[in-house]
Amino acid sequence: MSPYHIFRTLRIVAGFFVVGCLVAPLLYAVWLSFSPDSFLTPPERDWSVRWYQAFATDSRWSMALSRSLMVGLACAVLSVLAGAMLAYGMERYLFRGKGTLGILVLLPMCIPPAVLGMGLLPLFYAVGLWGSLLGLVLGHAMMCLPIVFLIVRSKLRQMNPDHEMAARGLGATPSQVVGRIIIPLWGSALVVGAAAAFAVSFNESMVTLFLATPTTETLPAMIWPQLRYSPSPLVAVASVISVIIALGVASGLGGIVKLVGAKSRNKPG
Amino acid sequence: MNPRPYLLAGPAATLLIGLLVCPLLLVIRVSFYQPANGRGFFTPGTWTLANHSALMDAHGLGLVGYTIAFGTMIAVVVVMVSFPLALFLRSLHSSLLRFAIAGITLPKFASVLVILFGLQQLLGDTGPVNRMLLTWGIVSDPLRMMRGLFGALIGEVFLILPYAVILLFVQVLEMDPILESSARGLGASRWQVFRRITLPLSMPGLFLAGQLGLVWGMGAFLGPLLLGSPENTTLSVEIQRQAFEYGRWPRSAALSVQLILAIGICLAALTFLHNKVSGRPLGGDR
Amino acid sequence: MPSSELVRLADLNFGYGGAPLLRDVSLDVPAGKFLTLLGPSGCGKTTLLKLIGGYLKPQSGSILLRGKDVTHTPPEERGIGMVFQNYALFPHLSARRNVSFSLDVRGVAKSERDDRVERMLDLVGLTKFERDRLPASLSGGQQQRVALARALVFRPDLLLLDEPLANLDRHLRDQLRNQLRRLQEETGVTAVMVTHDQEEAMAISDLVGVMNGGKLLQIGSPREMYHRPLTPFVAGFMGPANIFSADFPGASREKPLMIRPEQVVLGEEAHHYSRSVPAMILSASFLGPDMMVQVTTNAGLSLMVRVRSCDSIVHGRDIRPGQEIRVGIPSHALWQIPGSDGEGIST
Repeated sequence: MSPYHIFRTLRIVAGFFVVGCLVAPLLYAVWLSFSPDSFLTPPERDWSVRWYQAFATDSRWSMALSRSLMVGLACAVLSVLAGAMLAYGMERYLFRGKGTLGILVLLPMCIPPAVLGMGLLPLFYAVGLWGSLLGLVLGHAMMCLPIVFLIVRSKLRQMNPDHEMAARGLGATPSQVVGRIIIPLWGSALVVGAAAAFAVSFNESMVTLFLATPTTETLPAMIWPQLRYSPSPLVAVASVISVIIALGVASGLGGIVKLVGAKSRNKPG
Repeated sequence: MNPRPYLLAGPAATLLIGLLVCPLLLVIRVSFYQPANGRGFFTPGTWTLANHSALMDAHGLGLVGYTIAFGTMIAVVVVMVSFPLALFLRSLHSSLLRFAIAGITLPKFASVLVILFGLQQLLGDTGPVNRMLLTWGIVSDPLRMMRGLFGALIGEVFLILPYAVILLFVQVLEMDPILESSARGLGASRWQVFRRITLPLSMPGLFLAGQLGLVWGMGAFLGPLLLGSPENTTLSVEIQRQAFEYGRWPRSAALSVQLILAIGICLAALTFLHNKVSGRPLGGDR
Repeated sequence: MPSSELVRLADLNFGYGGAPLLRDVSLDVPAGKFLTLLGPSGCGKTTLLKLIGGYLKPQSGSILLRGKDVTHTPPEERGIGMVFQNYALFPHLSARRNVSFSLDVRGVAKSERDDRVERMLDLVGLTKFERDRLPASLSGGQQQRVALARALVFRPDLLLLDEPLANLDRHLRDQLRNQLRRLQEETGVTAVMVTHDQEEAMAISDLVGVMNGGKLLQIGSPREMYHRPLTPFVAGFMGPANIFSADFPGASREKPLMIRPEQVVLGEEAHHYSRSVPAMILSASFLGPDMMVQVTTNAGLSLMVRVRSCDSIVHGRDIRPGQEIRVGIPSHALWQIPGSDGEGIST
């Protein structure tokens, strides 16, 4: 073997070692969730699903799960609507306040979640949204706005604005342009944005921590005290379930993109 | 005036103003309230500087210093690890690349809490890593990796790294590989190509990754709280502790203002540094 | 006799999986000459150039440079200058620093380096004002000059050029083409250029090689390639050609015959040639200096004929579709193509 081949092999081994390290905590958590007892040691011979049963039979966990799902989906819809409209307006029009808005929309990424939570707390307290799911949805939607905005904007930048003009020239009204050109062309970006927003909201724990009360406990809010004070395989189970749901929703949305894409290709004129 | 862009921007602007600008202004206001005496979380209608001046004592300054140091360390580690990793990804062919990208993005579908839980168990005193080190005789006593600076750092790095890697990967993909081959053809060694072509062309991405690491590192909460030491913590942890454990909202709000200011100053310093480095004629005289 | 070739390629094969990009290519490049590789896109010509430069490694075969085997030598040790298709100028370095790059990495002393860089930039004709600019603020022609200067400044004995003129507009292309040739002659560097433009290839080169489907079909002087092509593909790629089979004395029926459109004679003059037949004009298109006329003989043979626009037959209203006209084929202009496109022939 030449020195170059050795170098290349070493590089691949080292690279995948780092990638492996990045996945290791997640995989280890999954492994722990099959533990047969309440000690946090990974099962070697006797794998058990008793903690999954415990999760399923405890209504507090299932309530939290359904709340998380609801908040995640509502947040995805809201942030995609607001984010995509903003991205389109910013890319295709010049207007007053555009520069300020461009900075403002990226700000949620730069403000530490603890500060966001601390800011939302007195606000929601004052307007009576503290302890409501609506408050959580709004807070998450604001946090997801930059992600959706960036995804849709990068898609818009790849696209040729001439498509829209060409459609207008061929006699399409603005609403027809949206339905026949824009949605089919950037549908994929909308869905990717929605999936990202869902994943962020579904797994978000910081703002949730500041805003959730016992009546609005979502999955992360349930996991959190357990993790901090008494880690048990139940935490691992809840984690595994949340990963599966996040992946499932993301791939489900991916499937929708393909379906819609295939349909609109053959849409009659 | 065309109303359409305003209609398009309306919902997002409402969200941002209502749930970002207003709360931030409110935080500033709350930071000047007197603490509650008995009822509620603060005393409405009062003004005091006490919450801010309380941060100027040794403990408060220690907090700010620790936060800045923590953010800087995170930024350095994130850049140092994600850049080689991004270059490594670029060198892979499609099937291996897909595998590697899946590995890097998968943890981002999981809750932050899962990753930290996994790390806590993996690197704990009785975790598999320590057990392995003990059996191989590399250490005689378990390494204390959790509940200290190391644990907090590693936790935050795990959370930020996937974003930084993808960001830098996109950046290095945009670089035309022909540039590097042509530099080789002009007589540059592998190291010279890296030093004179790859590195300067990646600077914008490295700067962005550094910013990301710094901002998120300084705002770090979960890593330091769950894997760090209880004594030395970041401002974010203290914000949550003041608000929930002691119910002192004004103190918590004052800490929030401090954190934002600290982040702003550090970002400005990083930008200054970057401009100074890239303002020099690149690849100039030896 | 000592070999005078600078580069010798022997049985090079290259390809990932599927269809190979290069098949058994052998080629000698004589020192000091300008060789152009000509072919349609995807014929493997750029791949061949990158193999010579060391940017790709062949699956089999060998590359000899100055008589030494460099098949596995990395590019930085080959000392070959290369101009890439989109120039590959370093976007973060000024024009001057781009040119000095090869001297910087070799550790050439500052005074000598600056001297050589400025002289090379003078030679390619980049104004002082443009030398401090970044590539993005230079025009296409200026970028091309910088790329050329960068490839020549370290005095390589071999210069590789990958479609160096393709991204320029026509007028500038002709101008830079001549400059390129002049520069090559002045510096004495051996040049290998890749292009798909046969006119460019013939105008600039000492030798032209035509490639197709990963094979080198023929190599020779521009005249030889134009008038004496070895395969029908080479005949067609070097310029418009009438290729047909016919019974002519001294020609075999199996091998096709070729005549260039400008060699066919039209009108009354055709009577001077022994082979002259009546024909009918199908169409005619005006190309400025010339006219391209499509005729079909009474025997059913279809021919392209190029006539000068200022010729008497054009003015004598004879060139009109449907018009009867006499066609003459000078026998000295007929060329029997010896090979078929299936096989590669190299000389």
